[in-house]
Amino acid sequence: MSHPRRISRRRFIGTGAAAAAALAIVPRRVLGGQDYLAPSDTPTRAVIGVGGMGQGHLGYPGAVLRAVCDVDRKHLESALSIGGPGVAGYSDFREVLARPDIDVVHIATPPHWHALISIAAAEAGKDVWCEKPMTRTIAEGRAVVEAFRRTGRVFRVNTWFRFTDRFYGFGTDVRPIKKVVQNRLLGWPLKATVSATTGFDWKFYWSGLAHARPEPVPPELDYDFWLGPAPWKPYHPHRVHGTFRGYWDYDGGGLGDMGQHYLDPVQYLLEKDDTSPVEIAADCPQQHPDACGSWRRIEMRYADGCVIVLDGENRDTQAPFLEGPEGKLFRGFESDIPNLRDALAALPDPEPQVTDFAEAVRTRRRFALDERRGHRSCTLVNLAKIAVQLGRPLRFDPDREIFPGDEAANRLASQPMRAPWHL
Amino acid sequence: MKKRIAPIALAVVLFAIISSFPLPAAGQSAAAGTGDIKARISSILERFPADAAAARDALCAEIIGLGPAALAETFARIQPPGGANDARARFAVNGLAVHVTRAGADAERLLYVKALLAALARASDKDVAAFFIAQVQLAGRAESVKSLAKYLSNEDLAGPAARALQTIGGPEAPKAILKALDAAPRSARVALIDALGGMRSREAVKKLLVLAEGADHEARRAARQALANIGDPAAGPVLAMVRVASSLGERAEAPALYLLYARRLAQAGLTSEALEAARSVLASYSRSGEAQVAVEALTLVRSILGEGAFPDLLRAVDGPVPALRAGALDMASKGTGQEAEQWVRRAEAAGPEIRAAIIEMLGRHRDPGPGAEFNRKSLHDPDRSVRLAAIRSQIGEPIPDLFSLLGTADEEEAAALRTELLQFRAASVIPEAARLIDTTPHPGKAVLIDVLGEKGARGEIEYVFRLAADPEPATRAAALGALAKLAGEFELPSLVAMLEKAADADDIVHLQDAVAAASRTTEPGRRGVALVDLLNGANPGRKAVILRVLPRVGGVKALRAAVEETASADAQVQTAAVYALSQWPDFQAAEELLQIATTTASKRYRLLALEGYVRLVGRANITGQRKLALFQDLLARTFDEADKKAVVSGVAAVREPEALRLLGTCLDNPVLGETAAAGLLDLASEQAPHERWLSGHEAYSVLRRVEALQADPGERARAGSIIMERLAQGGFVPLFDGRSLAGWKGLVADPPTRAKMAQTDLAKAQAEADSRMRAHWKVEDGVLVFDGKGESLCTASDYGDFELLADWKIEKGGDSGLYLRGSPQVQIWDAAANPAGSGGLYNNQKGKSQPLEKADRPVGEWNSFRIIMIGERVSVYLNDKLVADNVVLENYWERDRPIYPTGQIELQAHGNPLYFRNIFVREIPGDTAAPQMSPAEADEGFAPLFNGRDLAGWTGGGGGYAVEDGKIVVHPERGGGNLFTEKEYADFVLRFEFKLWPAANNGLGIRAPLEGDAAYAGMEIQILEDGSPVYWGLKPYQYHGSIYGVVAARRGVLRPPGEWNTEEVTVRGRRITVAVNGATVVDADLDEASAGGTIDGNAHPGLARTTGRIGFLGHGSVLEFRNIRLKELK
Repeated sequence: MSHPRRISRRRFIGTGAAAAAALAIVPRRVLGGQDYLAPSDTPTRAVIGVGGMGQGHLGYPGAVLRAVCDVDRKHLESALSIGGPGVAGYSDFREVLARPDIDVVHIATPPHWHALISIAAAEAGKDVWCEKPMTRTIAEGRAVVEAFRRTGRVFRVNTWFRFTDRFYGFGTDVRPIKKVVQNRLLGWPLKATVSATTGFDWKFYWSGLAHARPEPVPPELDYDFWLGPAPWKPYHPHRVHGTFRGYWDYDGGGLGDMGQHYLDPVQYLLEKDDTSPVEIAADCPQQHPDACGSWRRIEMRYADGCVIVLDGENRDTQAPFLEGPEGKLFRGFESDIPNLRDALAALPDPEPQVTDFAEAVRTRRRFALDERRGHRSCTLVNLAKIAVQLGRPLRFDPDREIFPGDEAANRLASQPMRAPWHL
Repeated sequence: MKKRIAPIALAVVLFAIISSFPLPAAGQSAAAGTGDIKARISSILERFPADAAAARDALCAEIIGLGPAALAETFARIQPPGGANDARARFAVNGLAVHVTRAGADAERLLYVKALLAALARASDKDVAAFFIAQVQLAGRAESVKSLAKYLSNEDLAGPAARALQTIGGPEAPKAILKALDAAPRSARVALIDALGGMRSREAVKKLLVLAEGADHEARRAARQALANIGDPAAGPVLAMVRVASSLGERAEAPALYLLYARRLAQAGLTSEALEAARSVLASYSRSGEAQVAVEALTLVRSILGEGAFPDLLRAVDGPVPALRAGALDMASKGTGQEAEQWVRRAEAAGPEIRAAIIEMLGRHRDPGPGAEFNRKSLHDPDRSVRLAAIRSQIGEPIPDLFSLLGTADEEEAAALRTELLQFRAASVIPEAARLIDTTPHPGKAVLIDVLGEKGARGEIEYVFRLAADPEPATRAAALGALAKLAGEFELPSLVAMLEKAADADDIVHLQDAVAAASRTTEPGRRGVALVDLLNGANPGRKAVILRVLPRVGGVKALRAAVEETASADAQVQTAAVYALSQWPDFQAAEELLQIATTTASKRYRLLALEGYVRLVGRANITGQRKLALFQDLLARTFDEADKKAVVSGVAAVREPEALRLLGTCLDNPVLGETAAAGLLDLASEQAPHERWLSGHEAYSVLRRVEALQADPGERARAGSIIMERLAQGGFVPLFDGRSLAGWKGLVADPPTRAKMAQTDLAKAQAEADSRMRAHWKVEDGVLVFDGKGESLCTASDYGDFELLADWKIEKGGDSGLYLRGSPQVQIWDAAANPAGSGGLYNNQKGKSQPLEKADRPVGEWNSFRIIMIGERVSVYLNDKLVADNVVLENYWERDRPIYPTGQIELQAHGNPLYFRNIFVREIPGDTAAPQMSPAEADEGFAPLFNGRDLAGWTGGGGGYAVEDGKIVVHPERGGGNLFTEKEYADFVLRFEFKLWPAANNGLGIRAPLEGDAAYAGMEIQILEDGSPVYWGLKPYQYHGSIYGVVAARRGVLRPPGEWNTEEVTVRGRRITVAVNGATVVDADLDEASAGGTIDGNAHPGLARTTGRIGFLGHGSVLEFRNIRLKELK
């Protein structure tokens, strides 16, 4: 086996591929170690993917950083310089997963890696804190849910607006909004509009290059490993770090970037944690097969009549965030219901959630945004992506999670990976 | 900052045009000649990408209507990556795939796929072929299998083909792969095996069994994975063997594979085999670190046996592995009374830990029945952890039970009870809460009062008022907290009266909260009005009390009232009013505070007002630049030095390079120095990745001064460590560790001589030189000291391009120098004897050898060098003054040759004592050269506007502009705004290169002021990826190169996103010309262009300006600039 080791800063170049080939996966049990933390113990953490988003994960509270991993030497060196002594660097995530002393794995790679690393981590006995969007396809999401159900590990998606923080333009967290909804002050079913008017800006600058001249791969980057399960495409710097979101192979433009941040709380509010929409329609320009483009409007309808509208053009400048037969709730917690705050006081509060990930890890309880809920809210993102790519209305079966009779949509929802990677 | 460009526009019109096209019937098109087809396809492709799905479908129908030749022509337009721009053709091909896979279009699909496969067969480039195969993966079915199979033995295309076949599935696809497997190159095998596994091909089992025990490691792993996924019983023994007799790596994968295999068995109905497999895993992975495997096995047992697995779950819950217990309880099913009953029985018999876990599980299921009853009973369990679990896990509405616990609850239990009680409706908890308050002790009592407040029990408000006067402080605190929730305008007078009388500090805080809350609960328009009414009629004592709360209420009326009271005749009221303003929450009060600060005679009021003003400016939603400008104004006014301290602390909170400079100028001020120093340390104690200026030389030099000013050794050490951190982040490494001579060596001859020496001789000479060196170079108190005898000291490594920092000190008559790349020298000598001073390139014969000015400090004091060497050129700063400006360093050793590309850095021995410290070097990567200006340009009078290393000479940017590899890169996620030159320019020629990313939007500001929207207050030369589909419907005056809103540019000369463009902007009087990639796109006279109004109909007062700054006007997009150079026209 290859021992986890600190990679010498100067000698890193070239070891990435070699380490991948010579790798031996060492399960936690071979080296002993505990899977259960005493309440007094602080969990230990590794961060896989330490570029843009990953740098933020190094210092998250609740765990001690022990290892960082990246296929780009520059990212790795920068993370090591921040991490300080006691933090080891790796270029192959499987070596990190083989370490028996890591409890929690943070995944901040581009989305096309999220599912594979999550599943491998669960099978290696790790708990996972994964960046949004949770997975790149619906099938990958199902596979993650399945893996964490089977192995009993704890999972969270790195978005948090369903349980903490000011919810975009609302001047409050999501709880009072939940209270309004769960007590049916707006009636039922509801229509949610996610647009600049209601406090959410869709970032259309995540657009890919539709015609790029290939460039040589820089020596610090193991491009083949970076691509991993994604189809091989000639290298161009715009495909990778910082701008990868503009390509369908790795993410899905502004939808991929902000979709789960915006939509997960909506799903929570609409009480749709166990289901998905049945009809999806997108109004958008035609999409390039490789580079993501913009869209004007996406509408998703649930079986009970609830609707989510993503308004990319912000055409409806009067739109409330939530609208039901009995009332509307606007950004800034404004409402057409008189004395809303007083009315709220008399009503039951929402159920408390497990919002401390370290506590979930210690007590083996489900985190507020676990893999099941995360998968459903990421499915909203992935449904929208497919609707944009195909440009035609879709029907979805939320139980079987397939598009009945729409083979092309199903093929986008479940895509085979580049060998040797597979679900 | 400026202009808003609608990213998307309607295509209704476009669509209407397209859909009205008559679609030719297939028969007609067959008659069309090839020339016709080419022209038709060209014109159709021009209309891609379609703006909407309907338009796309119309275009696709048109192509398909033209028949196979048209499809072939479309496919023929696909180019290898990097070839001609084929984006439209790719849009079309992919659009066709989407179009023909719509429901009920199988005939069209077949036509498309056949043409696609024919194109694939013709494709000679592998990337083009891969693109076609990816399209087959979208649209192909059984008809494509045979064609795809041909690529299974192709090293580059086997993977894509196998994935397409896997997607297509059906009976033929696995057969084709299986047939190709033996002949496939080794590199393609795994892809083929993966596809077989992915399709769960039973017919592949036989072959896979062989591979699963073969010698090829990768094929073996893939085959085992495939076998497990297929789940054929024949694979059982092989997969079981892996668990005991394989390499460590394979054994590690074994349980997951074996359980996958077992799951597939169960799915195939082979339940007893599956169960046996799962149980064997469960039995053999029982240690704590293997919980995930055990949980997985148990999950399978559970899914096979259903309720019958209860004994297995029970065993797991009883076991010693907590993660397995949690997993088992997670599997406990919901809704079966019988099982719930069994769990209850188990819980009753178990210890507290397991009992609590079962209670929580029952609570999660929310089933009325035995679980609900047991959980309710457990509220009174003797064990506290069980009680806590029970409180959190109640089912239904056991409100009296929860209330009954409050009497005996401890803090944690009370908190849990509070959370639970708030989950009920107000009407079902208020009466009971009110009834119990008097008889319940703390902390339960506080919870009850809290419930009244949280649940809006306005009917109980008088009772809560009574409680607010309770002698017991905890009761008072809870009641006042509840009042803050319940009280409204009507109760304000009572609350204010209470506040006036209150003596207890906690009570005052709570009452202030309550008053503020009661004032806030009115409608927005009446915010603060009730409290202001009270203020107006009050006596001075009450006024002071109310004024203290006013800032918490905010609003225009409250602000006006507070301002009015600052003129009060009563000193107490006046003080309270000034204080209130100083605490005001929003920027509205800033003007008033400034007014007070500049006019009041009272020192105290002035300080209060200044502090409040500084706080508000610091938090205001304005640019850092603007904040600094306001602070600088303030500093320029004649306040006490003591007042200025408040302003200086404000400056230190603005994270901009200018703040660093401003604070630096205060360091020597006897009154402000300390505050400025502390502010600088705070500023530098943390650095975000985009704040590169904090690790640059300017920060280094200022922080060194801060360090020297610290009297306390601890503070000095802290300053030192902050400096080291910043240097390290800026890429500097220490050459001298302050303790030893590590990293240094003795001098062996000169470079040409050394180059001629044999390796062994050199090593020997080096060893001798090293021992000589140690006799004369010593470390004393963190200083590198030379005793005046012996030879120069050399770095152990060689350096090419670098930035070097070094402090040096000499004695009277002293002489030394720094050798760069082994060559003399940057001069050091006693400036009293050599009036030109130090820092010149002493041995230069052709180029300048004297320093630009004398910047030496007196002998015996420390001096600081900053030396930048890139290529042949050297710049030297001595004590922050530029003394050598980009001078070529001549080769002293071999006069006819240029300076060596790399070499050691040497501290020159010259027969007198020397002192060095703080020596750092930053290596500059080779490609980070300064702007590539041609000599002709230099002769013409062009000079770089951007030095390729940092943003010296530029200002603003809000953190969104970074210097990377000689380029300015815009990072909108780090900050936004405009980056301006520090100087103003009137007439000039500006040349630069820029790279656009898709949909990039920026602008070049010219003759612009620092403030205002540069597109109107100055002029903006548009920078925009105007070809992006995001910008449908641009106005011509928004195209790239336009004078925004005034003169439209010619379009179509931009290179594609990701490639570099060149631009030249000439501004001479009223004439502006813009050339992009050599083509003139704007040549206009401003007066003519704006005569009778501008084309965008907006006012452009900036057109009248004759001078101003040049800047990049950020608009939230990624893009890059480089080689920015400018010639001023005089």
